[in-house]
Amino acid sequence: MRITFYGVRGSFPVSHPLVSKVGGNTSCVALEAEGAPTLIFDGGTGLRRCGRDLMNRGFGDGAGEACFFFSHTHWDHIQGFMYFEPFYREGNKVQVVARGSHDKRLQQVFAGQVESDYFSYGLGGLKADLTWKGVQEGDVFHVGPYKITTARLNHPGIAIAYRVELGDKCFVYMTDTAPYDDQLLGEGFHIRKPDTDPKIIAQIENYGQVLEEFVAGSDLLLYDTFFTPEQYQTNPHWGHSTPDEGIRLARQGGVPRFYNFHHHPEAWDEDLEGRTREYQQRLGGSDLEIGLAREGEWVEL
Amino acid sequence: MRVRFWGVRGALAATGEGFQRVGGNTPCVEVRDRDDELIVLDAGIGAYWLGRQLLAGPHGRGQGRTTLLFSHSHWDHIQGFPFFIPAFIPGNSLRVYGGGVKRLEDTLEGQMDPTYSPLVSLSNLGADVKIGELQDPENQRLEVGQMVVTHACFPNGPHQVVGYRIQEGERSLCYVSEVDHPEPGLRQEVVDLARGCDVLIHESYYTEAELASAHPPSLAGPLGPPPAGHSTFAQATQVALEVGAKRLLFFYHHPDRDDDAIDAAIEAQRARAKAAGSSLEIDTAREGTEFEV
Repeated sequence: MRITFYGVRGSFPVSHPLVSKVGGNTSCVALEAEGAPTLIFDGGTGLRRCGRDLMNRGFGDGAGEACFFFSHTHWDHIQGFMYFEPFYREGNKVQVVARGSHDKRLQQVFAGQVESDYFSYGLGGLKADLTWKGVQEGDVFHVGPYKITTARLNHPGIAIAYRVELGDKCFVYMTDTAPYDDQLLGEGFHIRKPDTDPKIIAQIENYGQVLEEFVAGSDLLLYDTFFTPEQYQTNPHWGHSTPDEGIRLARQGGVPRFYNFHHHPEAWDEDLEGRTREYQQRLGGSDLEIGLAREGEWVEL
Repeated sequence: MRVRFWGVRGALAATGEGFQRVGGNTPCVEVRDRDDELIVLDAGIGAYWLGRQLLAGPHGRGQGRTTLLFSHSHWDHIQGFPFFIPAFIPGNSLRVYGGGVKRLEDTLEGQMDPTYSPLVSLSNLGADVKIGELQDPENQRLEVGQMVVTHACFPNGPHQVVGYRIQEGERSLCYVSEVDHPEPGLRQEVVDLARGCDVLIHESYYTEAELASAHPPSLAGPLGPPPAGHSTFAQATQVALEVGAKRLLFFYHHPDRDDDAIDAAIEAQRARAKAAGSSLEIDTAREGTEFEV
């Protein structure tokens, strides 16, 4: 399978000369495998170029099949949705998967962001055959030949991670999340306030353990490294993590490749490149490969 | 009046090389009077970078005042609002105005909804935020420090857009971030608003050839819905000539139009103004540049 990075930035798209090499578009990653539907993880602004590329691979003839997996529906993860070219060709089949109590509610979420006070046209303008699927953390299901598993992440409003298995290959998409540390982030507004209730602390430990098992044995972990450890200290309640936590998860789970993803808007090219090298050096003779998700590049599994 | 552009791009941010001389952020313009009183026009992504800069002054100490004027509430004009850092600092004051089909307060509250944002509600912004509707009679004429703000509302497709005129003493600035003009002709509300202004900031999303084509370039490709509600470099020039503006700045550029293409459009319009015997100065709004009106 081939995993292509179309958008690697968090919070909002960044137009700045110092991010030109890594890329400024918000989250979007495509997974393609021979004879299987195309999987798309999140629909940030990177989705526009992803859609354009797919038009040359079956979607231009209305014969494409894709499935979206949204980590959550915060604006930076859905803002490219209406610019996905295959939506405007009849015949393409697209399923949208996100965390939600039921399918209809999920459709309302996507319709709500393009109501007339926010956008110039609604979902009615889309010609492809669209279906909606609300899932919960812990769900296991199949999309074509892929086996998909989900896990809860530590993020305000709650995000989920996806583990995708096809044959003997396995990819984990994990953004947006804070480490399961001393605060559980869920529904509602969060300020910095460590949890003290023993029941919540037990829950945090449990979710953390589930995540360790979830990652174990995969071939590639793509992970939210929005913060440096110093930045994380001041904003742990934002629901974003560090390379240190991701590398810990990868090493513990015997994962051979770890990629930094969902970069901070002010993480300039040289910061990200330098940091990635440093983490690799710090690991010494370890087999773990530390990578940097860059727009337009891909990883072959 | 001093003006600085923080976002000059329409619809979607333009990232990467080829867009950095003009800039790729969605709309945001900083306007200051002689006492440094601040008006911000629209809060596209440029509002993040503006807010970050403001932290060095009173806004960083919880003593800053901002008047934020929205042209309308389409995502590209409001997407920087949740990232405008001074809005989170207690003590800062933020007066917000706009006028759409729905009440602005409801629209902005919807933007903060937990489905779409970790902020959950406007009430979680730390600053003192007051939201006013331009339809209300007391907001027909706003006084912000030495500046007086008037506006015009006009329909633009199924929604409504507000154009602003800001006057300080004899000097005036006009901001028209999105508009479609009738073909042929010009939208009268815009002409009336901009009459005799010193600086006109006018959108130029399309070239003439694009607007005239059967299918103007959609961001969703050749099959995507043809976007309505925009004007051209030539129409912007026509407005500036018609109202006798001294200076015209192109704004709200198409996300695929790179620096070289914008330069070429500027040259073409300069030639056109010259041929008409006008001394109108023509350029594009560029992010990071500051000028005196």
